[in-house]
Amino acid sequence: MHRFALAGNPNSGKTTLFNGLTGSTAHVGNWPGVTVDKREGVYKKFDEPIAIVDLPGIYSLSPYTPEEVIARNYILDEKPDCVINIIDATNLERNLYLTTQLLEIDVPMVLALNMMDAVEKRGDYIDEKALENRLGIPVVKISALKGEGLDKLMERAHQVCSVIRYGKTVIEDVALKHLIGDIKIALEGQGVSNPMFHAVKLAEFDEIEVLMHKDTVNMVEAFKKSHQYDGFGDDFEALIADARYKYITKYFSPTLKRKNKEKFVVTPSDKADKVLTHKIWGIPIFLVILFTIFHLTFSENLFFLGGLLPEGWVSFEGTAFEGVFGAGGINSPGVMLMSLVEILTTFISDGVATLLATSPEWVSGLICDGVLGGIFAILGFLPQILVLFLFFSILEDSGYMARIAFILDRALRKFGLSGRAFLPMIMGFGCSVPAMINTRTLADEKEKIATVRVIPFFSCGAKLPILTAVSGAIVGYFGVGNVDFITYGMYLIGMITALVAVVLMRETTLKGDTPPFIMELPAYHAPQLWNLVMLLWDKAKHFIHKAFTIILASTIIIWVISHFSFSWNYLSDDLMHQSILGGLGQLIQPLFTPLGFGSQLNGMGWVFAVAAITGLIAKENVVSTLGTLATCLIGTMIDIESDGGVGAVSIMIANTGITLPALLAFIAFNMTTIPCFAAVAAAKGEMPNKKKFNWTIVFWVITSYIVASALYLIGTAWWTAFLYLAVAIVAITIIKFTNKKREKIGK
Amino acid sequence: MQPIEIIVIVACVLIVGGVIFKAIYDKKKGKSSCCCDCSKCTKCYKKDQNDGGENN
Amino acid sequence: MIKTLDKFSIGESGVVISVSGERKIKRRLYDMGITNGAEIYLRKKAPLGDPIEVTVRSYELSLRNSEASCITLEVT
Repeated sequence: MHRFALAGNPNSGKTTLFNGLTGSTAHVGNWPGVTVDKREGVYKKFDEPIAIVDLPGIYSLSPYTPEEVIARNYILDEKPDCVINIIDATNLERNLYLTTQLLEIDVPMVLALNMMDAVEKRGDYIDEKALENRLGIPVVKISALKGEGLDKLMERAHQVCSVIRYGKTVIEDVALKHLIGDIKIALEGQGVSNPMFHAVKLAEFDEIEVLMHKDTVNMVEAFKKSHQYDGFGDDFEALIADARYKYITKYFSPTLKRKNKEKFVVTPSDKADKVLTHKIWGIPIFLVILFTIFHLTFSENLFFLGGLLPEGWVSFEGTAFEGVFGAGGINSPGVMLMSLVEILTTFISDGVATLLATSPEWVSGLICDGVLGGIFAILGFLPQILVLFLFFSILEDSGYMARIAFILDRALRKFGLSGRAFLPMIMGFGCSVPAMINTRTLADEKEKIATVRVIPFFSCGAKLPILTAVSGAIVGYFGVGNVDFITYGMYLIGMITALVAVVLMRETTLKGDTPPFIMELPAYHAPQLWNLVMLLWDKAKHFIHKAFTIILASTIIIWVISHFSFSWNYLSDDLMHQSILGGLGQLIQPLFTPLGFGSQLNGMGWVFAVAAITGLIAKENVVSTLGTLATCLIGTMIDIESDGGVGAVSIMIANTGITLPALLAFIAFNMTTIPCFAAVAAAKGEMPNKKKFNWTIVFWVITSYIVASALYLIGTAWWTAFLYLAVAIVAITIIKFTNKKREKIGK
Repeated sequence: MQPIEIIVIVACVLIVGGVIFKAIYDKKKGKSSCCCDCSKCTKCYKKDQNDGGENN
Repeated sequence: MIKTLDKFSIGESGVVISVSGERKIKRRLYDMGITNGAEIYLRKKAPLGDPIEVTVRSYELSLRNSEASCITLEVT
């Protein structure tokens, strides 16, 4: 089977092309930082299927970043049958820089001119025939987004893949050309494949080449001594980079006929940026946008109009839809959808309960309390997870997130991070796993480790039920605050914890230089509606799948071990504290006393501890476990209106006497402690060695304890804040002292 | 035992067993127990550790 | 007039005369098209003036002042 490799700049639309050719659905983010592994697929439109490999997006084949090394090695060593070089036609020159390097490799090549629709919209025109003649390889116009030209591209690629093509260089300078020619001959004599590519890289004094071909290095050094170039001295890397661009500007740029001759045009994007990246208002605007998103997702008093409307107007009192649109205030879209889901789940659970009325107690217990109680506790949150995800995807897709990284870079630098670290962190709001994988764009390893460690603090979609359920219960039970304010506040605490943690790490174990920031800022563009719909659908599917497999299994197990004693006697709901789960729960309960949900709780207090532990499997389990166990309690105590996850927490509050600060501590603990197994595995994959990974686990445990206990203790007795302050001061002094000592030793 | 009891027990065993086996099976195959957002998660197959990232 | 990019104001443009600095950074700058003879236009500055956004070879790129100071240009 033939193998074609896709190579091109980041943001050139390579992944879109890959999807178009292989038919898989993948997320297309348009700011640098959405990293995707070498992906493989199959093109099936010909009789014989063709394997397609999507190489990492790169700007050049020099070994500056891991992506470049991977792409380079793949083409040189794995020898694909054809390289499809995808070019962003709106950035011809910079994209062709990579092309000139690819052309030096002995491999059949085809050029795909992507984003032709954008070029044509501007009124510009590219003479691809001329380009083809001058490049010496086929050139095909495509629009990966619209799926146009793909088949023609594959046809031409197929035509050339069996024809041997020898690498050629665009360097015109006579003396240099001779040098390269001589090196090439020497390498050919040694039987080295792709001699032209290696020869040019040697002339550039490329690190890998110099190591691999030590003997030919002398030739280059001798040449350098006898040839001086104005303005470059002996920096041949600069010389050759310059030579490439000279060639591109001379022969390739003219194939682009511009309608608008003006060099620097102020685009609508720039106008938007004048406001959004404003010196003073840029960050406040971001915070407001962020709050608005939370408001639209969690608020029960949309735009704070509550007080203005007549009583009972919005709440549809007395009807089946009571409370959906609001009670006291108008519900936000997120909350409205949640209420609708809850009407459905209540209907189903009542129905099932009636059906099983005549069954043995344990059957109805397991199904109604255990399974339905657990799953329905989290199902209600699916709409909000999707709404939040939708907003973040829009921010991402439109290009706004890259702007934020741009603005925040200066501030983040004080914390030892670059603006680029911000992007994987924001991805953490969706799911920690792809966010951690995304840290590969961070070339600096220490920065990467620090970022991976704090990503879980950016509460992922699975933690959303915890935040919402507990916040909702706080508002409902204690009558204080607003759900959206509390949720926003807790998310912020997560982010602040992340910042503080990073600062500490960068001052101690992960001390290093500030990484470079050079980053591309793509133009703003309206998010693709279809893309968003597919994304949401994907996420919803994944959530439902997770709910009915992992979470379902967990609720069954939880119910079983909470209704059987160690001697395998069946226990009814009111005897759960004697069960296996109860026993284990009461065993670990004391561990959480400093956090407010340990031994100080009455009744079923151990439930909180157990719920947190089940979170290790999947963070949704925290609320579903609470849901299962709380639903069992309903039959045996005061009947609190069961409203999914919020109701479950309310029941537990009433049963255990847990205080408000302790509830906040509970949220904080779950937000910052060891994430789910999937995330732990992802983190392990990104750590360079086992030691760093083990410390990561320790880091999570310690951080969650500190943050949660601080919330509980300071919330309960404000003067304990001084204790924390004192400890902090001592810690900072010690750190500063050891750093000074280290510097002295270093000198 | 009533028939409904048998049905429920069998169902539970299948569900719990299935989930556990799938987790072990995935791990054996080298898959990381996948993420919440599978459209982004192409990292499921941990073949080579030197895979870098890519910007698309 | 000759000055380094970090000293430019919004709206100014120039032609690159030389690129200095650490090898890693230099190479990155070349890869992005900042070579002798390239035209650069300063488009934006972030709050506090750093980082900056420039147009080079018809696309936008953001750089820190420390990186921009490695680029010497002739103002046009």
